Amino acid sequence: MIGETLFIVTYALIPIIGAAIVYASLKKEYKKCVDKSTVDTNEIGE
Amino acid sequence: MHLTIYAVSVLLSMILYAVVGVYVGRKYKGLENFFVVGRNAPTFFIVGSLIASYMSTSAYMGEIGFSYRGYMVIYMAMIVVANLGYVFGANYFGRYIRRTEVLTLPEYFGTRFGSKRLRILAGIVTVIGLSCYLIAVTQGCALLVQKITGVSYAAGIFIILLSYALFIIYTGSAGTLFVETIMFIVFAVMSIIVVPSIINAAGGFPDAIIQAAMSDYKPDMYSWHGPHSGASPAYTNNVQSFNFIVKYGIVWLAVLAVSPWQTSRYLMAKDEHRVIRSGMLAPIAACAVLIFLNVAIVTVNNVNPDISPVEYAFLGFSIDYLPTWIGIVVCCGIMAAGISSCCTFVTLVACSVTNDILPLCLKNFKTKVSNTRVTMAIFAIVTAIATYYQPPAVMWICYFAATWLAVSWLYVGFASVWSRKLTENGAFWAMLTGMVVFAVLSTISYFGWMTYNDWFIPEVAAIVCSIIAAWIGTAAHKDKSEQEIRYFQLMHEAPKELYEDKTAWKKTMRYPFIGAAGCTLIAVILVFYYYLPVREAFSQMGIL
Repeated sequence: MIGETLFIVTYALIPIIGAAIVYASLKKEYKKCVDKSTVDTNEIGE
Repeated sequence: MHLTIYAVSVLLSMILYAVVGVYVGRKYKGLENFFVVGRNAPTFFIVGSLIASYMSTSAYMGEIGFSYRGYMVIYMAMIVVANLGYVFGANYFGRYIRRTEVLTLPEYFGTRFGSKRLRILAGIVTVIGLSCYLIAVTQGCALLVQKITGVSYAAGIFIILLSYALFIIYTGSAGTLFVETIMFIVFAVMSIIVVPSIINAAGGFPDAIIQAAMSDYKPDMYSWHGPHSGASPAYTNNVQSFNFIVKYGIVWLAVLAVSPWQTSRYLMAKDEHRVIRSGMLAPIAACAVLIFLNVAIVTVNNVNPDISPVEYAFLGFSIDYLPTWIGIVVCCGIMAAGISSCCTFVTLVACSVTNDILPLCLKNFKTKVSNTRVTMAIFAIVTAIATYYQPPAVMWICYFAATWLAVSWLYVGFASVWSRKLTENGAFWAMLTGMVVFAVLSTISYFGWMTYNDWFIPEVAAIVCSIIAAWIGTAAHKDKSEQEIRYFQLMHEAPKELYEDKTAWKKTMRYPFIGAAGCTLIAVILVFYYYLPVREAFSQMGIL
């Protein structure tokens, strides 16, 4: 049953790994966008 | 010809799709609307269209026949690897392509590297790959028409040609997107509601699964590797079974990430948030639609283990053994899956020919809606004729087409977005080398001139050669044009929509969790639906 067990585990694990990688990169990008947005707002204020 | 209730139902559904397609399509005028629906599509439509163009008669006739033969686990394991293509493709390729506002993928490659020859080559890869795929999908649809009406195979092809060509030529991508979404709903609902009926007809749950797992006629149907003996096994050892997961996992990952018929959907998205969200939802939809049905189809062997050709396993069983209304739903669902892919392929090929190949090869040729429509009509007729002369092999022709695109585009696609070093020369030779190496290795294998070792995977070899060619090509011509440098920078500039709307960002950030949770839920259901019954069967057989 090792192969069959791995099949089930993989079914959950692969999407979780994929989602985690994407989430990490989105979080980084979100931070960059928020910083850029803050800079733009300050420039308009000045 | 006999007009059965199944034939009438399918005919009515086709008329409905045509009416909706024409109604929606008449609202959209102009080239950009015809090609990319004004770049205004919401998440649900993108997901629907992604799945509808991915799943075709290959999924419901070819691959389901493969599961029926007992290779369900390797097929579904391949699918879960491939689904990463949605996740990575949307986030690391699709959204960047969308920023460039091109109409087709070959146009993207050509403009990104400032290269006419690369654009033409990408156009040719698209046309050849999608033509093969269209032939396979049309074969599946024609077999279905033949089964439910009793007409000849040739007449079936003609009916299919009429059913999609008439409205898609008029509506272009707008009609495709809307009709595909409806078709997605139809076959997704079908894939779920038919499962209990199949299991009940095959002996009830969990007895049907236990009985199939203990079959002597096709042993190991629920084992991870599938049958290696018994009635005509496709693979004879574990390495071959594992190779299927690896090679087609990579191939379909590439297809879902960078192929024209998947990523072109992102060009239609309203904004980048919709692209990212679609990439996270599509794997759940793909898994949910496929997994339960494919586990169930193995139990059909309890009732009839000798359905031939295996492409009829699902369709034939539904008509012959299930209630009439289920049979109707199955016929309409399979036809919806097939026609939706036909619509996508015909539209994409015509757009590539009129936007990327002819304007660069013929003087005075202008890309217009009228030219694209004529190209669609010619292409649809030519592929219908080719379908007639090509012996039916729905699954394997689709896999050839998918591999053809994957080996040519996988590296160049991602590197075009993420590599500062890759030059036009490197990209061109990478695409050409991947394509040629795969064609040569496949030809050698097809004609039996050489038998490859179980550990040698031609598809992976072609991708590796493509990467090496990119390095050598780039090293040979390191200079980059102004356009290449500017275009690369342009792609990496976040559009205003990304940093102006924090609420949309926060909503998008939830989608990776939704994606992971959805797939985990499916895995948990699989424990009860597949794992425990199979464990019980193995226990009764004394294997555990």
